[in-house]
Order: sequence, then structure tokens, then C-alpha cells
Amino acid sequence: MSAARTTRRNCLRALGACGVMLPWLRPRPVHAATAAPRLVLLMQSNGTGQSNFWPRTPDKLESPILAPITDDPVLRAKTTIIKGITNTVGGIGNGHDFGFSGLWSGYQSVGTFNDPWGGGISIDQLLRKSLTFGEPFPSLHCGVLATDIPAFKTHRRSFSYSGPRRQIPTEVDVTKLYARFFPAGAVAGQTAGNDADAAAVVRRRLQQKKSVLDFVTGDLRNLRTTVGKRDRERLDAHEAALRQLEQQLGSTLNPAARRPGRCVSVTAPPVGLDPGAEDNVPQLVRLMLDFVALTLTCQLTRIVTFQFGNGGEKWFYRWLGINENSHDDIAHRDTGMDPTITAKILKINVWHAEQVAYLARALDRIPEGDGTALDNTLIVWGNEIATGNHAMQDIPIVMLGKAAGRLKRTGYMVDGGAQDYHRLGTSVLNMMGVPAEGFGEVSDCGPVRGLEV
Amino acid sequence: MSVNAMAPCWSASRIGRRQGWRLGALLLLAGACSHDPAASLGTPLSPTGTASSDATGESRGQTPRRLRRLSNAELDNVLGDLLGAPLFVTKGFLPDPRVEGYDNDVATLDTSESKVDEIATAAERVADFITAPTRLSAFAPCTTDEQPGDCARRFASWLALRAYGRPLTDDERQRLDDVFSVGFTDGDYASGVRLLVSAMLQSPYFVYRLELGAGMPPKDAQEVQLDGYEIASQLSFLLQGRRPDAELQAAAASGGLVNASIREQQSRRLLAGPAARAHLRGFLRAWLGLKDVAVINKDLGVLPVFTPQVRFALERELETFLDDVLVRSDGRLDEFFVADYTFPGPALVPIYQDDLKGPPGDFQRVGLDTRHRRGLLSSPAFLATHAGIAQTNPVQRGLVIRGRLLCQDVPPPPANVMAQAPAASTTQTTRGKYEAHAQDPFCRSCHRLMDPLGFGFENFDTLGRFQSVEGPAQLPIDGRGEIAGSDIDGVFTGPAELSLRLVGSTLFRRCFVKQLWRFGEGRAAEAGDAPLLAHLARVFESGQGRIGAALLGVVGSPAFIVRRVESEP
Repeated sequence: MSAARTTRRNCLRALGACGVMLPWLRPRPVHAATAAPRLVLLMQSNGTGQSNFWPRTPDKLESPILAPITDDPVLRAKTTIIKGITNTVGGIGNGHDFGFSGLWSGYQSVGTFNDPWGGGISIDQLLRKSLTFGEPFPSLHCGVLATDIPAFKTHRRSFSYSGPRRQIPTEVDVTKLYARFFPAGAVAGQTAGNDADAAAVVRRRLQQKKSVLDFVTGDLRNLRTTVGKRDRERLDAHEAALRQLEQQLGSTLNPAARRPGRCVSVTAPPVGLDPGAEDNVPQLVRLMLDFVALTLTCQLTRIVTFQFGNGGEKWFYRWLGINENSHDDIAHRDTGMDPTITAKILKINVWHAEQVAYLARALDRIPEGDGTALDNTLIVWGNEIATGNHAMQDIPIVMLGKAAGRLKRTGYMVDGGAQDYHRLGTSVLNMMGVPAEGFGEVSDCGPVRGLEV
Repeated sequence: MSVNAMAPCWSASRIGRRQGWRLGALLLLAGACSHDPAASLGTPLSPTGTASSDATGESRGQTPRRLRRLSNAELDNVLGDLLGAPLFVTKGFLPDPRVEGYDNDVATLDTSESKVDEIATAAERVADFITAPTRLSAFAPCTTDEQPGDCARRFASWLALRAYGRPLTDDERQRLDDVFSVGFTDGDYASGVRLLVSAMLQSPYFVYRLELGAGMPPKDAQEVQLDGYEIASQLSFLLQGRRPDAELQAAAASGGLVNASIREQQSRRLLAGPAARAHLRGFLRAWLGLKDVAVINKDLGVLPVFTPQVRFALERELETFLDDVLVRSDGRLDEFFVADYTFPGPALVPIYQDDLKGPPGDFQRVGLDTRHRRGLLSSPAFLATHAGIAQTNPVQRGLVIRGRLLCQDVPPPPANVMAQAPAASTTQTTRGKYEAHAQDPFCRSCHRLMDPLGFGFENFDTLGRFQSVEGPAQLPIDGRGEIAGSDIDGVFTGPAELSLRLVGSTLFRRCFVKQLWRFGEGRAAEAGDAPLLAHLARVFESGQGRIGAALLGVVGSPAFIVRRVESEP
């Protein structure tokens, strides 16, 4: 049994008041003068504590859960909270499946109950297709998954998709990422002696690597002439990925690429922290967020997806003193009526807010133009569902940053009543410079009502 | 209609408060679960009729021309073969996606940027390994009388057979000469060889298995025949998850593999070897969801007995048992499910308790108390995998029997129903809590297909220990289950009795063949595959229900060597 495909009529009927937002339906001009913003999508699982999340007054933003962000006047001024985002569409599986893969794709999940994969391209990949990038790695997909999930649920590892069922994996090994993003360090680190010798060795290594990449590219192109359409796309993606590695190698010796010192001499964190051990999560999150901030502000990547755990995560949060299955025994029992459950959910969500604030501050410390890197970034902290017992109304959405000026007003809460979640995707596309009128399967739903862009 | 109508299916009272929504949902479900599941949910293998089929499974070319990216496991196998020892380069790689338990699903095995980077890393690691001073002369020998370029060429030819499963073309030879010469610039032979290895192991001809036929098919062609080397790779990956060995490649070179009897002869040879057994163990484990036994996650606060030693012993017991049945019982399907013995280690005494007929040795054969246990479904590995982290989950156990063993897809719950395990209780058994499903016609329509099946396993707790009472209140357990909507309908108690019933079920036996075929083909069956699957089921039965017989049927079928040409706009 599959739910009806979303149509514009469904979207409007469910949410009403379509006429009000008609003016927003027109493509918005992209301001060439402003730099393209960066985008960071942070995904949390298992919903939030509704009563402790939403601020009572839209411009004070006082909230027990969001306190780590909004108690800081600097961050509060750059925060936008969006209330009312609702997923009425569903898909195969439950909220940890269709909410997880749907929020940033706008597609219903597809497959079977045990294997519901994302049903279409997600916004990060759509942006990669729509924009031009100066960064060597247009997007980065990372997070902390830690405790692994049962064999039947590998689709919950990532919400990023290049197409139906074509999942982009989430990287959890930060050491591996440092080696990929900062290969010069890895190459130079192997050489000793004086600088001139070292440079010669590096140059020779790069020349050798290039000959390998040329050979592989030749094979890819030969093979491409003999395959069908689907496999041509696959080989094109393969070649693009190779080119990306090559470009990054090349830029390391390019004197024209002037980079700040912090982007050149980079030290990877020591190996040895098990990325599969849940008790390491607090450290793993910080290391990965440091890496995100570094690569964003060093112009190595522009779009980041980041996961706090798998969809429907079952962390025990021992580092918060909880030590219970947070999905089965806490989130699922969130009726809003049990004070001990509410208190645990508060604790878990405050911790998430602290991590988001950590990333925002890391970006806010880096000056750029008249402002900071955070001003030129759009962070969106979202969730697969609204509450632990799978409600899909009032999914908690927090934006940080000013999206390079494309977010006209910050420091307030948007509360335009129940709004289809496709509008959120539309607004993010618009702020990133794509003049879309809709998102995913709903091509004309318009942007978020009440968001001042 | 309220958008957040949440109805946990175990709580009838909550559903009752949402009458309007509930009625709507009932109507929808009526179309999904309320009729005879054997007729509709199952996939009876009656020929659904396609133009290109006949009674002997002469269905041709249902599988499209395609590339298949090697899975992590396959990468490790191929590299281990060419190095002569496993290097486990994929340790730390991103895991491959699993579809219905299988990690070789063609559609989801994509080539992400991460994967390309990982392959580059692996290639360089193997290149460093081969060109280490102690090994270079063994892998790429070169005497002082020889030209280094000639030695390199000889090495590249050797490597191609193992990495690509075919000889190099002239064009490849030439381009590899260039690669070698870049590395050899300063007269450094090792550096040239290192570059060769790195290039060849990043080549798409290494990373993918080709199922294309030679070159681009002629215009208007409906199907193509795979070339000899493609058939050899296809056969070798099916049976042992790796590239062909020298003998199979020789058969490929002679053109003989288009002949079904030669393919079968090669297959018999490969099936007798340990590599095929390791591969088939992997299949059986993927099918039954038993890939992660060593890392089964339990709430250790409640169940401290589930130590790493226990998990390790479960893993080793399972592997030993599967291998034993493959060798001594010739891989007969029945034996996996009704065997009255197992291979436990001492660490498993707290799990088996009184169910062993003798003291466990070093994973040696020990008889089972067959009143409680027989075969895989009563193994602690299976019982602990298909259970919650602190308590059993009858729905999960019922679903795995229904879905994986009978190939009946139970429709998913409606999107706005929260599939929620009931809270622990001291006054009710697990069964009692789940029985709420049966009280409500809305839940019942689907859950009657899963829960009563799972209830039949309730005498085994979440670690797979036999129990006749539950919880601190020592509540007596009712371990009777019932199977409906199948060809073995009726009441049963415990997995041992269910297994005895299952091995006589045509539905189960055909499902097994379908699963095995899916594992080989890397895709789910479609309507057009039905004639072939029906043919394979017959071959399997006439081969005394042995895995090997079904595989020979796959290899010998005409469909094995042809691929459909997809029309392009």
C-alpha cells in the first residue's frame, strides 16, 4: 500500500491558504553581487521535546532546549526558528525512514518496509548539479553514526541521495577525510631533508599520480562507449570523483592558490578513536565539526550534510548520565505527560543544541569581508520527525547564519501555521541561488510562509 | 483528518479515540492483508507467462546489460587471490548498502566519491605491498639480462588476468607502457611497477564486473551473449565471490563456456573447493539476516551474561555448523533446518543450559535436545539476532519467517501507525502485550500473519535461552504458535517443530531457490523471471534439495549467458 503521490492539490489542501503565498511563486532573481552562501544541513533523529523547544515569544527566542544557542546574544541575533513544518506525505517505512530521507529530498521513500530507500535526489546533490563551484569538493557528507544499526536498516545511514535508491554514504572516519582533503600534508609528511628536496619529491609524486589518473580516465572513457544509459551516468560520476581528487592534488602545488596558514599546515587528529563506539560520540562530534568548519572556511567544500547518528538512533547517552535506549525507552514514550521522560528528552536536545552552537561559533570566529564566515553560511538543524512518538507536525527547524545576506531578517521565529515541508526545501534552494518554485515531488508549493528573504 | 494521528498498534484504546481515521485505514488495509495471503502475498512461482519463455526455463535475457561494482567482500577476495594472502584492504571502508540482507544489490552499489577515494587508497596500499623490497622479485621478477620494460609488461599481463579476469588488449598494453615509464624515469623499477599496480587497480575493468557482451550491441539487437571472459567471471563470482582461476580462464579462452555442460563441469569443480563454501556461508547468513552475529547489540545492563566471548562463540558456532552441512550433508537445505546437533564452544553453556546432550568442546559436534532445538531457527545466533535488545519481539521473528523464508511480503503498516514495541511489564508476558494486536481488527488484518508465527518462538528469550517462565514474576510462557496463509498451516510449538514443518513446504523450498538466485543475480525477481525460477525449483528438487543442484541450474540456464539490450531514446 502506498500513500497517494503528492500533488500540488494535496499540498494545498492539507495546508490551506495557498493564495496568500502566490507572490513567492515567481522565481527570485539571484543577486550576483553577494557571494554564494555555504550550506550545512544537520540531521538529528527521534524528534524534539515540543514543550521545551518552541519559544513563547517570536522575537525573544527563549527556549530551554535552544538555550545553548539563544542565550548567547551574538548567536541569537543570527538565529531563525521555523515553526509549523509538517510532513503529511509519508512514504514507505516509518518516520525514521520517510521523514529521514524525505526532509531534504522532497520525495517519498521507495522500496519495502525493511528497506525503504530515498525516493529521489536530495537538495545537496541537486545544488551540486545546479550551481558552479570553485571548491575542489563541492559537498561533504559526514557525521557520527557510532553504534551500528541492524542489518535490515542500512538505508538509515545517510539522507543524501543522487537519485532514487542511490545513497551517498556518510563518512564517519575523520582521519580518512583529512587525508583526502589535505593530501599535500600527507605527501609532504613522508619526505625529509631541505625544503627544495621536499618540493621536488612532492612534484614527482604528483606527476606520477597524474599519470595513473590519466590511465584510469582513459579506461573509463573507453568503457563508457560500450554501456547503457544508467551505467554511463555511473561512469560519469566515477570520472568526476577522480577529477576531484586530481584537482585537489594539483592545487597543493599551485602558488596562485593563496590560503591562510591555518588551511595549509593542518594536523589531522590522532588515529585510534573508534568511530563505532557510542561512548566516543562527544569527542567524535567535535572532531568532525572542527573538520566541517575548517573545510568550509578554507574554501574546500561548500555544502555539508552532517548526521547525529543514524535515522531512529538508539544511543544510550551515557555521557549525559542517561543510560537507556533513547529510541525505544525514551523517544517512543514521549507523550508530553511524563515528566521524567520529558526531562531526559530535554537533556538530549540541549546536548544537540550545544553541538550546533559549537559549529556556529567556529564559523563565527573566522572574519570574512565585513562580517564572519557564519554570516555567509546557512546552517539548518533539522529532524526526521517532530516528536519521539513519530508526530510529523511542527518538525523542529533552526537556521543559523545569514546565508550571505539572502536571509534578510534573523533573530526571530517564523510561525506561519502548518506548512508543508516541501516549502522548506524550496526556501533553501532559493537562498542558495536556485530560483525554484517548489521542491522534490511538489514542483510549485512555494517557499516558507513568513520567512523574510 | 488529523495529520499526527498516531496509533501504536499495540494500544487498541488509542486507536479507538480516532474512529474516523481508523475506518479509513481499515478500508485501505482491506485491500492489503484481509484476503488469503498464500494467494496474494506469496509469490507463487506459477509461470506468469512471457513471450520468451517455455517450460524448461528457456527465458532469455531478463537481466539487462550492466556493470556491477565489486562489493567490499569481493574486493578483498580478488586482492587476496592475487597477493596470495588476504590483505583485508576494505577494513574501515564504508559498508556496502544491504537490500533484503544482500550486500551485492546492483542498483544500490553505487560509485560514490568516497568509494573512488577508497579504491585509490586500496590500490596504493596493494602497490606498496607488491613492490616492497622483500616481495618485488617474487611478484615482478626481472633478471639483469632483461629489459625492465619487458619485465613490467609481463607483470602487467599477469596482473590483468587476476584483476580484470581477462588478458590485456594491445591498446591497454601501450598505455600501461607509458604509465610504467613515468614511474621508471630515474631508472627505479620498483617505482614503475608501483605505478602500474596503482593504475590497474583503479581501472574500471577491475572495479566493475562487466556483463555487456563484446562491445556495443548492433542496432536493433534485443539481447547479447556475454563473451567468454565475462561468463567466466560471472560464474566465478556466483560460486565463490571472486575472479576466475587459471583453469576457468583457460575454458573462457577456448570459447567453451557458451556450452552449458562445460559451465556445469567447471561449476562442480569450483563447488568442491573451500572458496565456494565460504561464499555460500555468506549467502546463507545474508539470507537469514545473520551477517552481524559478532556485534549483536544487547542491553548489557540487563543482560551482562552476553559477553564478547559469547558473541564470538556464536559466530564461530554458526560458521562451523554451516560449513559442516555444506561438506558432510552436501549442502542439503533440510539439514540446515532440522539438524539435531550443533558445534558449541564452552562459552555457550549459559545460553544452551540443558539443551546440549554433552559437554561442549572446541566447537565440536554435540547433540541437541530436539524437544527444544533443531537447526538454524533454534540457534542462539538466529534467536538473538531477531529480537530486541532486552526482550523478545515476536513481530520481528514472525516477519523474518514470513519475508525471508516464505518470500511473502507483508505490507508495511500505514505511515501514520507507529510500529512500537510495548514497554517492559512485570505483570504481563511479552506475548500478552503483543496480543493486543489480535484484539483490534485494524491491526489484526496484517499482524495475524506475523505475531502468531513469532509467538511460537516465545520459549526462547532475547539471547536464545530456553525459558518456560518469564520475568521476575515468573509468569508462565505460552510457546504455541500458529502459521496461516501457507501450505503448512497449523499450530506448532517452538522453532524445532516449525522447522520440521517448513522443510516439507513447497512455498519455503521455492522461496529458498528464489533467494539463492537473487543473491547471484544482484537484483529482485520480476514477473519475467518466473519461468526461470520455476525451472530452477524443479532442478533443485530433482537434485535432492541441494544448494549445489540449484546453482548448477542457474549456471546451466540459457539466461545465464545472455543479457537484454535496453532500448534508449
